[in-house]
Amino acid sequence: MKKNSLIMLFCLLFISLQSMQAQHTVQYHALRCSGSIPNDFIKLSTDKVISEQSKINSKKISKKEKALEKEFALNSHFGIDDILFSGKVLYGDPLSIYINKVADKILKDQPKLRSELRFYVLKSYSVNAFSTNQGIVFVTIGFLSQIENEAQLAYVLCHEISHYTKKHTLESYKKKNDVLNGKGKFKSLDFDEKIEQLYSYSKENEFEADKEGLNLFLNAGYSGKAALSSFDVLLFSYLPYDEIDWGKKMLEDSMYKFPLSYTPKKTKEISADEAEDDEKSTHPNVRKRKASVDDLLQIENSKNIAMEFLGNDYFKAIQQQARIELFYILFNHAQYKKAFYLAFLYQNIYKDNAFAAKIAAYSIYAKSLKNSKSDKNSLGEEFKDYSEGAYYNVTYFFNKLNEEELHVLSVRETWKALQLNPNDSFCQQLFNHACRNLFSETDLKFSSFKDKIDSLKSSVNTNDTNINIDGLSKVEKLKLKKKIQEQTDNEDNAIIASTTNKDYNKWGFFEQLKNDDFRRYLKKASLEVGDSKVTEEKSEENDYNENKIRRWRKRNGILGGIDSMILVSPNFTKVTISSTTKQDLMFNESEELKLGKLYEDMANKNQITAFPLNIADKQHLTTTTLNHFTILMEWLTERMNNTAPKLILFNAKETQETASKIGTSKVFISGINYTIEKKEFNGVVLVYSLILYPTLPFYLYDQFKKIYHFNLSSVVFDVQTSKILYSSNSNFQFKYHRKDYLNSQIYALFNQIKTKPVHE
Amino acid sequence: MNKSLSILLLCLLPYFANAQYGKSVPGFLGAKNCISLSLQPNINPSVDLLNQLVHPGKGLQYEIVTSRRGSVSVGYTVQNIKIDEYSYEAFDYKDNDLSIPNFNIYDRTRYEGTIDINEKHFFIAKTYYHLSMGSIAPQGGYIRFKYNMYSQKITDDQMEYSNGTVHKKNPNGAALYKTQNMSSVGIELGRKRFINKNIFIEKSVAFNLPNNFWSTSSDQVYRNIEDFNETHMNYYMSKNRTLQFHISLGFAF
Repeated sequence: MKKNSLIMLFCLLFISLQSMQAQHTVQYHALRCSGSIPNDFIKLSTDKVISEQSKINSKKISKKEKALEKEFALNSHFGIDDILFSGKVLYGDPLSIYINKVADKILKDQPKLRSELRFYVLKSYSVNAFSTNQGIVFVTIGFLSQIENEAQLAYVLCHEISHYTKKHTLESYKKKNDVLNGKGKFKSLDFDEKIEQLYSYSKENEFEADKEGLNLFLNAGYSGKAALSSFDVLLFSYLPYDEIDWGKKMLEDSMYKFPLSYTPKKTKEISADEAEDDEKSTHPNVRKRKASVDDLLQIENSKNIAMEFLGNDYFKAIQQQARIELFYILFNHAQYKKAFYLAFLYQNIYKDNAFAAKIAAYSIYAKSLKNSKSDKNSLGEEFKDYSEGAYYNVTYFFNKLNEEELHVLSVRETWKALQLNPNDSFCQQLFNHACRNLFSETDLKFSSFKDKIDSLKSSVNTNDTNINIDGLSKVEKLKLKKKIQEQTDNEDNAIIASTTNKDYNKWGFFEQLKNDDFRRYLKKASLEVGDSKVTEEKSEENDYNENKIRRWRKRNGILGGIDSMILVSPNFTKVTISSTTKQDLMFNESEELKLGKLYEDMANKNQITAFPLNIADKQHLTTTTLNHFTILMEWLTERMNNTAPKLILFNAKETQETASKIGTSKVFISGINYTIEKKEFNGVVLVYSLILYPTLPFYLYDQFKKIYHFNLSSVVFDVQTSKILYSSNSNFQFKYHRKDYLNSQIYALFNQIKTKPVHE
Repeated sequence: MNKSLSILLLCLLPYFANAQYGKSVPGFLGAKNCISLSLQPNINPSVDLLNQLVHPGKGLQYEIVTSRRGSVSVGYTVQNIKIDEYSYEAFDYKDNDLSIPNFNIYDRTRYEGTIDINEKHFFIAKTYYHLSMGSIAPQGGYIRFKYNMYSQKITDDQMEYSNGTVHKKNPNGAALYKTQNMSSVGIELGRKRFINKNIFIEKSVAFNLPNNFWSTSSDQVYRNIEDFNETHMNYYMSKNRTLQFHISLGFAF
């Protein structure tokens, strides 16, 4: 008995040690939800709204206020559920667990409040945290990657909890309604003054949340200093999570040197200012907030010194995990320059060369293939390109590179990543693809690359006069010439010459070609691409056939020839446009539920094997279904943000595995938009038609006539090949309640998808 | 009619055989064949409205869907019409060299009474559904191009011919009416609404251009009373067929 107890004790100890160790282990894959699904996900938004509205009914407030609160309940519940089902929310993952643990610590004395609050992680690059009136607090990955310690997270959580306890979102909604509708004292204000009032009110709320949050924070035992430093994190949050100077040397070797002009003469200064003008901002500036919190700290005179309760190692592991997750977010949104710099930072901070090299290689590989310029321009606020400080050098460098240079760099870096990750099939795939792209996307040939020093010398001699000095000042030109003159006497003369030569690209594989494997791979890719280029040459016969197919498609529509697919639950939106635009949110939700079943039914009728992924059916939702949906949506986002169809997507493997688990690699996504346009009332026309009374019936017909727009769009992707197998976008004018039209459309859609084209 | 019909059917066979091959033919939820029974009252300002409503044409139509937007149909309609002298528009034929015994042709001759006409109508049609309006064959709005063939015959002549004092039926002693043929090309605009998975209601209006419209309406010299009646029947039916309304109840499978 005693022996058994001892064994059990050891087992328990071993398990607990294992779990502790597992807690700090970093996962090199995208984070997914785990555990049982929270109640927020399994209730229909309509049920949530009805339940809250019944509570509002029992309140002893005026009818107008009740109506306003009900409207807020409707909009906020549907708004939050949109976020919850966007595929960007995490629960049960290491980051969420950590945040919940910190929240437990903060609210250890307030169990009732703790039970009301739910904390989720939001997969977003932006540095943010926000709470809702329903008690949900979202913390972004971007924020977790930037904070420096547990206490900073705790303070921000306290701030958000205070927003919830003070019902700031509801009060702001009411205030906004009062101000914009000019009620009471706001009646005489013009529009600018009204907006100013709203900003001012929002700032008051922020100060209040700072103050209340600080009390909560200090009660939990955290050091007040962390509260102040969290504002600094906020101030520089638009920049990457660290500031380490990047030099292009990490991409160079003894023979491969970039021209000097690829480095900016001066780094762009950091523009962040803690005393920035906050007149037209919802939040006060950092200086004011710090001063306010500092005053409170003086009064409280707290002697807390704790920066963490859960341990620094645990925090660091969480921070690293968040930083890994950032790469997935950036790749999803085709933000390759940012990802490249973060890979550099990651390498410097965590000394994790293999993973960083893989990320850097992928960034350059994707950049070399990407046609669109969304990486350069801002993609909304989240990815606004604030290239300042050390990051400026990276953006400057990439903006200088042309397609050919990027392809050479892509081969070099993918090879480097493969050397560091020899057993990683993804790295091998990337390298092979980069080699093929080098020859297929550019005019370069295998023989273009120099592998002998003799040819280098001749190159220097012949190209010596071709030194690129365009755009350099007089002094710079003289300095450069002097430098080259000095270097020519040395053994490394050719290297320096190549740095100023536009043909530096040809030295791209000088070192690598010494490796037999590299030479073999590159030669093979060159030959393969050369052969396929010949076969791709279009003959007149091909043109004729293509035209024939095009004409056939015009008559009979595009056919898919698809036998099985994953049916992602359709999106339905009904909008009524008159003087205002209204969405019938509850109707939308109930229709989405019905449409999911209708689609399934119609697919089966067409003998398509359907694997439904119905997240609209919330009552039967599981974590597995939600994760599958998230993975597919992430894949789709990544695919849609990349205009290059050849690109191997970063998270393709996980998506392919998920799809095969579900049953097929083909994914069907569809959406219906239904718009009703009502004519606005025009009194003048009515008067005219009354005077000319025979025209009255025409006026009445025109006035009460509604225009119905129905849009059905759908797309079938193959996650295995990243190709779009079928797409259609149809616009009609018919009433949505005409079920024969709707059913017929959906049936015909699946029939098109199922029918195999005869010309293929 | 029979000859032209057989030629048309022969031409249609290879078309039917190839119509659905290699295309997406969704039909209505998979139903690609439609059979419908229709009523076709002829509303024409110059005809007896009530009579037409009471005795509409009764038709049977078969439609086969050949693509997303197209279908081919064949139909057969029978109509028995009883018309009076007012609808017939044949009050006076003294200018015609008609051979009616016991009447002085130079006197004003009138007739009163009814004539029964039987019409058999066969048509073939190609229908295009409005894909851009959300319709998919065989559901929704459509435009139909028709070729109609008619055979018409006066089955009963109850006309009483009179010169004011003497009244006479069947002046030539026997009803020797022959079957008359007529054809027309037409456009039909309609809408088909499914009330459940298989049953539909169809409404349409058709505009036809009969081949003998002008020839029968122009002044002619008639040889005898049968010739006169047959020509007038042709003219009357031509007018009827210019504008037709259909309401059908059908089954799709």
